[in-house]
Amino acid sequence: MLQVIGAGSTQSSTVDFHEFYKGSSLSDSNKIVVSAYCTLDESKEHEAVVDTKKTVVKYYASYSSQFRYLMIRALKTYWRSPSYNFVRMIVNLLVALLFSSAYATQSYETDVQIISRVGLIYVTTFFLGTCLLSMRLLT
Amino acid sequence: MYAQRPSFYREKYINIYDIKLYTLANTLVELPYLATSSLFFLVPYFFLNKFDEVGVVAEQFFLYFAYVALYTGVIVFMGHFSSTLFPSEPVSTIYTGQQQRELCINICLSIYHHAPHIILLTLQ
Repeated sequence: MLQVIGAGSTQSSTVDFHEFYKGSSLSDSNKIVVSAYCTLDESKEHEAVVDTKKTVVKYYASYSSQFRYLMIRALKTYWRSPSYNFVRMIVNLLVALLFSSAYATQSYETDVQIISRVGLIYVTTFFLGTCLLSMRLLT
Repeated sequence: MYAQRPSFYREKYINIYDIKLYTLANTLVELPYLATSSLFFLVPYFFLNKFDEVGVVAEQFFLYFAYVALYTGVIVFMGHFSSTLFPSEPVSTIYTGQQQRELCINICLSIYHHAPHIILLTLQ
């Protein structure tokens, strides 16, 4: 496998993977398995499609199992895209540290300082929103 | 979101699952990430800015946490919405550039109007 793909030593690969797979032994064994599954078994009724009242059911699986497998897949998708999820957390941390560095030495007593805190809340909300929006679109 | 589209159309065509359940799963899976990322923002921000010096600290912290989490939720799910609504990524970018920045500004302005009253009330 590594010999075929060049193990990342070159930037671009000259091998056409589609043609290579079609000629390989793995392709032949996979074709045999798929054709075995594709032959229609006449003896079995497709019971999942027709329920007891003989009305056509729309989905093969029940709603709970559909939801379970979709949930598993969505969790895996999110876990495997750290460029979105963990960078987002680091950006949040950086925004918080950046904006609070201006206020770290200030006290919190007078009216003016309270109003400046309100301005801080405004700016961080806006900044966080635009950051998240642009990152959402990058993925 | 756009990378998932071909497989989504294929699976929808052969009726593997209900679209409602697909949307529900994709929405629910976002929630823990939202909570943790807003905590990452809030913990240094809240205590460095001395918001904990007046009033009931826990109440203020969780109110602000709720605010940040809901706001990030609105932004992220609007992103989901626009990326499902439009056929390609550039179009969705244009839409976000126009509409969602306005949304940001509107939410921020409403906070800007209401925050002084809230803070002054807690000080009294």
